[in-house]
Amino acid sequence: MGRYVLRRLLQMIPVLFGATFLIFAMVFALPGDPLAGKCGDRPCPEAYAQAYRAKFHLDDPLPVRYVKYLGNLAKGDLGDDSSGQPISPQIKRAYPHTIKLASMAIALEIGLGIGIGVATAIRRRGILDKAVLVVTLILIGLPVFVTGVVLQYFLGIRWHTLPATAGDNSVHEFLMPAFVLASLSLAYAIRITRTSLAEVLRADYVRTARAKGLNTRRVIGVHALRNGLIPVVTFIGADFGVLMGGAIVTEGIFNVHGVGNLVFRAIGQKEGNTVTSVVAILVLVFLVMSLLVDLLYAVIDPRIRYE
Amino acid sequence: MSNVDPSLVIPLDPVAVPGAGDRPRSLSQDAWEDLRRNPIVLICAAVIVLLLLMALFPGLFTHTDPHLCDLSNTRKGPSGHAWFGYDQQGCDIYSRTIHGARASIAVGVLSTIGVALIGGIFGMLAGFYGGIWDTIVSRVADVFFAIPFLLGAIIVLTTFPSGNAHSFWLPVSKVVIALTLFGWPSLARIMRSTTLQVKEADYVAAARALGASTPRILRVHVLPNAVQPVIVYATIALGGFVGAEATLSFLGVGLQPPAISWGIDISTAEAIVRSSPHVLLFPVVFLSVTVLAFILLGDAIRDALDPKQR
Amino acid sequence: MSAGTENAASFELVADDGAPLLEVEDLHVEFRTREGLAKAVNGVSYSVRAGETLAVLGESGSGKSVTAQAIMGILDTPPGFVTGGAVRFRGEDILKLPEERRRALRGASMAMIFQDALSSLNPVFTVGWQIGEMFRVHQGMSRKESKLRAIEMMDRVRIPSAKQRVNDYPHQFSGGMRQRVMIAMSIALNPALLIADEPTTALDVTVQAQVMDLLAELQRESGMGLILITHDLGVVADVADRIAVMYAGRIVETADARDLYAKPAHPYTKALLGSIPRLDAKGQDIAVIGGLPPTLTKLPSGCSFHPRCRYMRPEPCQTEVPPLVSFEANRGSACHFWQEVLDGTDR
Repeated sequence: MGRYVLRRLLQMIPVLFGATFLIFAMVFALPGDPLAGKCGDRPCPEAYAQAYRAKFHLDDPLPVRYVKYLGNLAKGDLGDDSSGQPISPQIKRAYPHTIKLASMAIALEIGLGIGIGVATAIRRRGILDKAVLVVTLILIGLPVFVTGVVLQYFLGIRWHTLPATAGDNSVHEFLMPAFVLASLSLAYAIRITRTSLAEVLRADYVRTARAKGLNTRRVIGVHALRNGLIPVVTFIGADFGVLMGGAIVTEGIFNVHGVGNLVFRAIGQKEGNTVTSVVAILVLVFLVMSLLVDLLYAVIDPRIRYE
Repeated sequence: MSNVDPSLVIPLDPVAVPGAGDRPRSLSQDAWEDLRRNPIVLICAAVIVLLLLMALFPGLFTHTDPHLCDLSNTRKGPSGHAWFGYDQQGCDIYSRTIHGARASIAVGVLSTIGVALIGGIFGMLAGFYGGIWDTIVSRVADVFFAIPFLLGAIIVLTTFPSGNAHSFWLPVSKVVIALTLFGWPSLARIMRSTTLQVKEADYVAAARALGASTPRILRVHVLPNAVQPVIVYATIALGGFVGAEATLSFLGVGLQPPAISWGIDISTAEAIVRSSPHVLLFPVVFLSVTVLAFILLGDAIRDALDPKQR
Repeated sequence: MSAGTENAASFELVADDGAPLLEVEDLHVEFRTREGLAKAVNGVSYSVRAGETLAVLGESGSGKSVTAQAIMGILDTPPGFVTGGAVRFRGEDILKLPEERRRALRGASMAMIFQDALSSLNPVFTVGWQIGEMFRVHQGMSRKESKLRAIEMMDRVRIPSAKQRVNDYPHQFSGGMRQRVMIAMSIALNPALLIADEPTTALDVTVQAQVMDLLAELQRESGMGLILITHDLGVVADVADRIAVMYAGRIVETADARDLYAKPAHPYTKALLGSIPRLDAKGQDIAVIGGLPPTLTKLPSGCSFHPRCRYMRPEPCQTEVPPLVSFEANRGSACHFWQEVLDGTDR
């Protein structure tokens, strides 16, 4: 197990470098003069331009700039954006909102996804099951931005059920964005739970559990559920990293000041350092989460062994 | 049962085979039979055919020019003259929705082909040659897989210069490249594991012992085995790419007006949804039905091919 | 008997007043499936006394396992439904009991073990946890105590180094050891009746004998009634007191084990006996039963066995269902021509 974790951690290093270099190269290949518009309508004074170019190492070749960027990164310095603002505090301000949003989305996936999935698996072909099937299909068919726009219109604007935007970052305001962010995965979580549990309920060991004289609650709640939830737990676990990276659209629609919003604005304003830093963090979160999920898998399914 | 063939003798505890008189059928034949009888498949197939017709020959459905807009018609609701009503600019929504199919289908189909080619070739190389090839391909795939799909596509699209705004294919191919670039790793992984499985099979060892060349082994043994999982993945991914194109256009980095795309129309409709919800409704429905048709079809193919389910 | 079993609360000696421990009477079970109505059990009757071993013999699909599941009350409903008959356990028709009381019987008074121990044991719990669950659920024992009892049970079924292995998972055991775990779990509460559904089919031949010996020994010690379900005549020869042969959801012959082997009174039994390879008949062809077992949704008219029967005459075999005729004490045959079969008048 220890060796497996070590090997996975070592594999992460080239991936992290590769991903940051790729993004770094692309954002600094963004078209246009990075100095354009910095000094109003006039071209910038030569002295300012030189200082600016030196500060951002604009005259170095790309790989050199990347290495210099990494050097600063290793010192915990994410650098400044083009207007001279340090990037770290911007990310520190934005990150909690995205983590909160993604955590709420995951909570919805666990609560609603597993709850509804179990209910439909136990009562297959019932009215609830059919209704849930239709809803999950709609959620899968709707791209997240459509779900967001439509829900915002009905719940937020027409019926005033929930706040239409999230200016104050309260839990109440985040309910709708979190649901929208979770919607696609939620639909899959319900389907996976239902399929998996329905399959497990036909398993021989469930028959054994009944032959042991256990009541239905224990047969389903302990013997079937523990097995049936294995694929859902790994699915939802892996989803956290995906949701953090996928929050761009949701944060945009509901005006959440998270990293998605930050990075989308940074791309538009050609803030290469900001974009690279945010992507680096997102990639890291994604990689660590995938490792944790694989380890979790071995914990909840004793048949899995990593060597 | 009364005229049992006396030569047909069976061991004591056979698995009862219903209809054992039938000719044994292969898995793919079984799957095909299943699919032909599945109403969901038939509906999805019909929707997809209709969409292809819209994309190729929009003239079959409408003669109204989607670019011919009359501001005096702005935000008018559905009527006998314009079935879906008019949008903010007074353009005919029905016509725009029909013409919008082309961008979605083009991006979906081309991205799927791109992903299948790149992912397929690299996955097969990694699986077949192993060693350093496998390491390189797998790590590179990891890099592209670890970058959030949408974020990566947005960065690619803002990096490459926007060319002629009136060209249809230039922005479409930009979106296709962006989606392919961050979509291929999943398919490479599928292809790699299929190749690994097939490579270990006895019949491949036998073929190699008989002197079959590597290209021949790949073509004759590996590819046919990979077809099924790739078809399933590609069908579902096509739906996803259609959704991704709309998302990117909605964000303003995919196709740009005057190009016609459901994503662009949804984006412009969002601003006026309070007063004119019908402007939002039609592109949303078309987009969702398209995405769903491909995903459900892929799902059904997977169920039909999975022997565990039968 | 080990120290652990003497204080088991559920252990009761059944007074040998001749009353059977379990009586199945005219049991009917059907499965309502999309393909149609499958009549899996069509009027099965048999009984087991305390300390007795009844072997139920038949091909897959003959209804032998379904009967057992109906007795235990673990039939999958739907699609399976008990549509008639009675199952009397210690004189009481348990089909009429409320589910809660029936559940209390399961595991405690009647237990069952299954063919494939790997799939029948829960893969995500340790064997100690699964054996101990019997004590925790039925006797309210604590976790710690139940684990100690689980180790005792594992010792009793002779699993080596039980103390170390109690925390292992099913997949870490060999096939024979897994079946021993199943057995330990089923006899944990000293049930009066044990149903073993093909307990050795999935095992190697040498291991089969060990497991059968263990079952016989446990039965001798505890005096429980044992129903041994199998398709393998060889398995039951040494251990069964009586044998009931099933075909297409009916009992076609019942007899004391010795009588059945010596003089079968049903063509199906006779054919089964003929299909066992014998050392003394080396070089001869093994007799086989021609044709296929019947499809339960489309049972043949009259005697279900007639399409495969050497003794078949269109009248009455294709028209009348032969009743199970009792022609001696403890002997019965459901064949119109049982006398001819018994006499060996070969045709």
